[in-house]
Amino acid sequence: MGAMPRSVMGSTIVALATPTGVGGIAVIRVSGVTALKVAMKLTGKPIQSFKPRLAVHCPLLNKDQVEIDIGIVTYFKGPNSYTGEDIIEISCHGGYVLPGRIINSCMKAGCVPAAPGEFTKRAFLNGKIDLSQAEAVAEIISSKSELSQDISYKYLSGKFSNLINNMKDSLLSIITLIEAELDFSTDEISTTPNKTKIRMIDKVIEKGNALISTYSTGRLLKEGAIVTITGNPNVGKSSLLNAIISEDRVIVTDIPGTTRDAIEVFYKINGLPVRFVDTAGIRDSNDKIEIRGVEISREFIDRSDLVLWVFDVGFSLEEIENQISDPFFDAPFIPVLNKTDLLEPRDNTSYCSTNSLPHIYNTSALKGMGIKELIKRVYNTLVSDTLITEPEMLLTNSRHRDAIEKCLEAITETKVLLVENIESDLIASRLRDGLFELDKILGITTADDILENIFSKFCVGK
Amino acid sequence: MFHVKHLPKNNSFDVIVVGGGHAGLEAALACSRMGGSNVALISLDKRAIGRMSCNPAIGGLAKGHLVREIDALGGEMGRAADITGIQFKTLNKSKGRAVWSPRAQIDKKEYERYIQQLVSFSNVMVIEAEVVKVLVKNYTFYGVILRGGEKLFSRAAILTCGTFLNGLIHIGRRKIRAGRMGEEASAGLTESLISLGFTSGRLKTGTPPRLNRDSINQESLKKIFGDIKPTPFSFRTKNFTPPNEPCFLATTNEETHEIIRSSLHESPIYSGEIKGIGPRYCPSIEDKVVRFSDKPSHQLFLEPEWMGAEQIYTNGFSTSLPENIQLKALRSVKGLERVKFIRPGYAIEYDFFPPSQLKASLETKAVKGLFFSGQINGTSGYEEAAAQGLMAGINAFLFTKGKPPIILRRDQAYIGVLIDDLVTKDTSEPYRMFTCRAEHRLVLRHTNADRRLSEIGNSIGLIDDLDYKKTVKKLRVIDKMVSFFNSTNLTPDEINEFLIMKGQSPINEPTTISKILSRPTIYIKDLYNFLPKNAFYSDHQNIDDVMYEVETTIKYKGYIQRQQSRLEFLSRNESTGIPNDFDYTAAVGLSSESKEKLSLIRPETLGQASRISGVSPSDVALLSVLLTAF
Ligand SMILES: Cc1cc2nc3c(=O)[nH]c(=O)nc-3n(C[C@H](O)[C@H](O)[C@H](O)COP(=O)(O)OP(=O)(O)OC[C@H]3O[C@@H](n4cnc5c(N)ncnc54)[C@H](O)[C@@H]3O)c2cc1C
Ligand SMILES: Nc1nc2c(ncn2[C@@H]2O[C@H](COP(=O)(O)OP(=O)(O)OP(=O)(O)O)[C@@H](O)[C@H]2O)c(=O)[nH]1
Ligand SMILES: [Mg+2]
Repeated sequence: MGAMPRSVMGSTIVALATPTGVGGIAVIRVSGVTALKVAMKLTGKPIQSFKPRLAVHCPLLNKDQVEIDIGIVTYFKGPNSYTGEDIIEISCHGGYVLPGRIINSCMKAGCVPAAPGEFTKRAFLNGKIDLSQAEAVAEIISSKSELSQDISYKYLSGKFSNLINNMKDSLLSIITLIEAELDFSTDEISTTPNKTKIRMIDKVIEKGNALISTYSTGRLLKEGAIVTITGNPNVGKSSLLNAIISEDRVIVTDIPGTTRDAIEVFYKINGLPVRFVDTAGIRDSNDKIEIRGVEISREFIDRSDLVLWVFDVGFSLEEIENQISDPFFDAPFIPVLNKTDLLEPRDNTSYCSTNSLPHIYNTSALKGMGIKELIKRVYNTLVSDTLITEPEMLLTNSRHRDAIEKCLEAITETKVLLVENIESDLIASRLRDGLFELDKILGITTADDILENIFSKFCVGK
Repeated sequence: MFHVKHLPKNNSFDVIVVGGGHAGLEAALACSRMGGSNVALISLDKRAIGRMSCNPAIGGLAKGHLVREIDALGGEMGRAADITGIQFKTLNKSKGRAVWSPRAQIDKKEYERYIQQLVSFSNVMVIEAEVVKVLVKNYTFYGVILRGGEKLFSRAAILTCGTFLNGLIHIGRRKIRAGRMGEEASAGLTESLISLGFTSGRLKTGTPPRLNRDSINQESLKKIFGDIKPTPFSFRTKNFTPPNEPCFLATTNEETHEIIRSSLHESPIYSGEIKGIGPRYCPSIEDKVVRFSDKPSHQLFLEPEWMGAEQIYTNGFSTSLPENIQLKALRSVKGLERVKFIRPGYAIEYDFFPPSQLKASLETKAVKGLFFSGQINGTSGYEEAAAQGLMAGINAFLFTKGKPPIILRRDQAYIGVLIDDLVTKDTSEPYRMFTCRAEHRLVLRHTNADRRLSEIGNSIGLIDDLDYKKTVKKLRVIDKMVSFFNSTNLTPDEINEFLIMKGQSPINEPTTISKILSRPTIYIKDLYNFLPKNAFYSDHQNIDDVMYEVETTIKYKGYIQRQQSRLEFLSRNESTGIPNDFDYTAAVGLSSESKEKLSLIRPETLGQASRISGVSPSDVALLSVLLTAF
């Protein structure tokens, strides 16, 4: 018989589930029909010792049956396990050497090493998760913030699928109306006025746009926002960064041109991951290294979600206004006036009283003044209102966003056709184009390359 | 004319066709034209060969496409309709070119006469008899037994028994064993097939009453004519000047509906006496009154069944109510106050064989050399029957020659869609063609059936070389013209005045004719004046057809490209074969419903699998991984 599925699931796989070398405890996972046998050989304990979901304290033996560690072995009985197969999870001491030896003895007991993403692939194949959920797992693994993990869990719980299905259903009902008119005479069915159809299409577009509008926030949460600090040499850029992260991470000197390269610092504001980038000060220079530094900082600025443009009190108000009214980059920015501790109180108010837009933030990196406000402002600028009201769902996957956008593009076009009363076979075709895009998200007829892409993004052991 | 010629030696034939309906005819004629020197056509009543059981019309929405494709492949239905049609009309003209559909009212008597003559001049031997048993050895067909015991032998047979297998007519509570009104049903064949392991089911269909023309007050009814400029079905029809015989439009009213409503208990459909499942899309008048209770009236088209016929077909009034109620209801309709019946309407129940038992060649999976086609496969309609008959005929003949079958793809023809649907989807109601079933609809236009299929027709000897050469020439002219339009510019000076007059935005730089033509409200005829003289270098006789195709090709191009890219994405599944012995039960992630359906139907490709009802997208994704990754 052509029992392909059996041959897929035939092997029992093993892999380290925690990052190599990191942490005091390592987790090793084994999945497949012979998982229990592996547990017996690995621990030397009889099969009755392992009950589903029961953590068992036991010795861990190497391939020569010599005890090399004491660990905890938990048995998950298929199909009620992550992969849908029998799984044993072994917690042992971490480090670089020991987990490898235990994996070796698992292999001696009949396991083969898992390919990247194979655990999730098996879960998918066994019907434990759908495609968008499989992708969500990939995201959780690579996600950098707790909030973004939360979003991935929402994908995982099928919330996202529901939203897309909902859009799909609405679209399908419009298509149905039009298809009916193509295949039946007006005597057989009652026709729907084009106005009504347009209204229905508008509703779908609305739903799609609502999802798309969450994408930028979703992406920020997943990948982290890039905030670049720029300004003339010696205005206190590095000091400002140190003040923001309240840690002396970047070298500060009173010599202009201290920072020569771009320095990236990862920092979380309210769970929002931000990559602050300190850069070389912008000025004309003949120094090759410094020129290169300026080039690099330009590259970062162009990719930034937000720029902190730092001045110090050596600048006159007019100068600052002149510069910020004609920025040398496109990204949104916040002008910051640093070293305000050096100002006389009177001067200070003169800077502050300017109503010029955008609002200039006064800080003193040295004294830690205005830093909190600045951080708050950074956060609010990065995060749209949607996040603050905790949306149901954030779009984080660019493949999903592209598909929804393409869907909306196709169905928006049909509105024009409906107004002009153009051939309805063409309208139907464009609507089907739109539907197809949504199908792609939920994996209707998954092209293998997409699938392979998704799975190859996984780390071993997940 | 129909004497059985002497039976051949050993009663043995190239191919045996059982049934002389639209399926059987196309099958028999195809076998004979492909070179079969002795093809048997066994039919219960030789005078009923080519008979149109129900409405006197061929074509219509999506069905017109089928007829055009049958013709392009070298089948007969299109030509026969052109010769015997009495009114031609292209339907759906307001809804887009891909769904335009030719339809014709037919002189039923002429149609039968024409077909029977054709058969008599072919290598087809007509045998008036009833087949009661199919002979099989080693899973291979070898002959049939006739009532009376005589045996006929062949390597291949095509069963096209239509509505005749255990046919049962219902008129009110009255039941008549028949295959059609006035014709014997067939008994025994179903049972013989079941004993071979086939599964059968029960379906029903209905037909309206036939009225006496003189009893209709024609003056009070609206006359409806066909197109002034009729389009023939056949690409091979020349000098087409058919009659334009009118039909009449009558409308039911509240009183009619009340009469029907108060007698529903006498309808065998509503009293539950008919067990077979009927088509939802072709509802009886009882159904219409019940389901569309808010509609105050329904249209009835009164169609003459032949030129000057005294017999009138009541299109829209299919029913199985008792005769007296039918009459009472119709007499409440304006113009029909004194109407008399030639024959009442009736419903018929019959056996069919769920077509998931077939391969895409229409050969049965269980018995080599045995093919099914037509209504026996759960379809309804002449065109659907003829299309299958043609393909079964072609493939049965190829089978006898040891050659691989011809299987049309879904992007190639409605016939491909029809057969693929049949063999992969479980039909729970009679299957009729609809354009929405064809995902490649924009390319499957009735006007380009020749481009899609003539080459195949020619390669198997059904389209002769002369006709094929003409087709090739026409296609070449179209292609040349399209590329000319794609590469020739009009300047702002030449065209802007016209564009502005049309309410269109002017052009700023020289622009190709194609670009201008693809604007929604610009047509080729609008551009004649602006075209360089040599744009019409063709003296092709079908210049109108050619121009229409050029225009459509250009106007639909963008949409077709998008449709194409979407379908290409999906069609990767079409080329992923599934091994015949694939063990679905071992694929743990499949839903149990999918497992069951997939194990039963055993799709040949992943694409087929994805179209099986009950098989979900994630099931397909899963299968795709199983098939390719491991
Ligand atoms: C009452 C009625 C109403 C219909 N209404 C509609 C409608 O509203 N819309 C629609 O689209 N279609 C309708 N149809 C269907 C349409 O007529 C058929 O789909 C089409 O004609 C089927 O063609 P066929 O070749 O499969 O079978 P048929 O045309 O039914 O031909 C069957 C042939 O098989 C022969 N035969 C059967 N059994 C045997 C045997 N054992 N041995 C030898 N010969 C045998 C018969 O003699 C006959 O020649 C109706 C049919 C009927 C009878
Ligand atoms: N008084 C005062 N001095 C500050 C403040 N912020 C920075 N400085 C001083 O300014 C000098 C330059 O600081 P940096 O942070 O290295 O400045 P920079 O912009 O990173 O300089 P480059 O990397 O050389 O471009 C140092 O001597 C700091 O101590 C401030 O708020 N107040
Ligand atoms: Mg610095």
